[in-house]
Amino acid sequence: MASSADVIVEMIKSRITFARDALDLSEPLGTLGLDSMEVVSLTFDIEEKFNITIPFNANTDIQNKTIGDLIAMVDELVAAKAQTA
Amino acid sequence: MNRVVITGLGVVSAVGQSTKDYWDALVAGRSGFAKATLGTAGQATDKLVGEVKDFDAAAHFDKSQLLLLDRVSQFAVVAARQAVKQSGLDLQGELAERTAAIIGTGSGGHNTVDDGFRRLYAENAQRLHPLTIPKAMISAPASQVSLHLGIKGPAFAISSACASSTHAPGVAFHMVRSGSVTCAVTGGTEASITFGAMKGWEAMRIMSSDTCRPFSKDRKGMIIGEGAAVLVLEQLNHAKARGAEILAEVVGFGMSADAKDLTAPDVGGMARAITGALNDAKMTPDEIDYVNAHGTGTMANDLAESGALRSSFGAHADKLAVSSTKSVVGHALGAAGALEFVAAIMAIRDGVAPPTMNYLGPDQGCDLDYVPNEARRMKVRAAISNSFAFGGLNAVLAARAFAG
Repeated sequence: MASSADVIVEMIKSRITFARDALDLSEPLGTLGLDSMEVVSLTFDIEEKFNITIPFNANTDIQNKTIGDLIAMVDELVAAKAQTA
Repeated sequence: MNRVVITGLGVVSAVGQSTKDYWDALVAGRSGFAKATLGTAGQATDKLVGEVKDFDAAAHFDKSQLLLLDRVSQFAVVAARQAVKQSGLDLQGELAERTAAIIGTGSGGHNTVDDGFRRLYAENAQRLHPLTIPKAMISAPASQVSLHLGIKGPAFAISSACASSTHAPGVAFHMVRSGSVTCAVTGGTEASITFGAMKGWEAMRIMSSDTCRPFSKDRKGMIIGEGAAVLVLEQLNHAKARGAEILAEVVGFGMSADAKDLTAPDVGGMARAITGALNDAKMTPDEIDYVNAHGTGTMANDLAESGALRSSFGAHADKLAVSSTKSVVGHALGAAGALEFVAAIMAIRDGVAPPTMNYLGPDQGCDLDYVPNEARRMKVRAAISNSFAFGGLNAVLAARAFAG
């Protein structure tokens, strides 16, 4: 089974318009060429895929968060969900 | 062409259910924000909202009338009654046929839709209330204003999301100016703080986690509101002939479409609407003293709007007092434009620029005078009110002090 990191990176790649072989996990979401609503849509796709709710505000959280931050957050939320389940 | 004046105002808002209470709260910066309490909206979001609190529908309508009125239409009719009462217009006979009712709304009878669909889908109800459709239709508030006030001229709704109730008085202004009607009862209404709509706003992730601080550093987004505002527009000669008190003169209306993006604002589109309103008014930028901004408190809007004001006003932009009263009442969506035009008119009348509350300091690209945190006594010769909607639909109204 693909790791959450692989899944998320593929989801991001499918949304960015320029071709990229690899994404640097330290890259901020704000520099991917996605506008804020595209990041919001990406977040929605991730929530649906992993059945989690990601706390995220489009006004404050896009520029500074990196792809790695996003993956770490998803892993944490998935683990928390597994514990309470 | 006829000169067009305002002879009546009516308001139902999160901070007051009359023009006076609303305006006093704006000037004092008394916020109307609290957790959602209407229906099950509070289960959809823990964000603050600007609800119209303690709205006593039974004090305004009898039981048989209420069966036909969604909250959105109740707000509209109450605001319209206030405005017509203040104007002193007697809407009978030929005048009723020469008066328009043009009411903007973003989502119409949304409470009726949300309640009905919850019963169908969640509670497996077998049938909906027979008046679901006529209560929910987006033109219901315009119809109800016509019915309750006896207005028999052109009556219709205008829907352009958050610019609805700037487009509505704008179109009404042009109709009165051209002479196709003598008077217009016009404005906007919204009542969509529902479980479903709040889930939708949550999904957009643009609601603030603390408060609404337009144009400020550390702003976190918008606060959803509701309410209604209605104005009576009238041909100057008609108002004079009956000795009506003239509150202000409507002088310009500009509109544009970005044709770019469904949600991202566009400096060029905004600026074309602002400049369009000035051109329509045959005014130069230096004649404007106050701007009631769209100022939602989102990163994107406030940055683009500041740029558009610079683009349209040039060097005079630094002399403008610019404020966003959404910092007090929230974003009332399809009612926002009319609520804010009322604020601009009161600024002209009282010589006070209402403040942008919750302001913490300048942010990159937001470098105008936003009247931070405290109202300012100043002469307001003329003002504009901006509305820039999702879908790139822009509308700007201009008014000035009436001077004979």
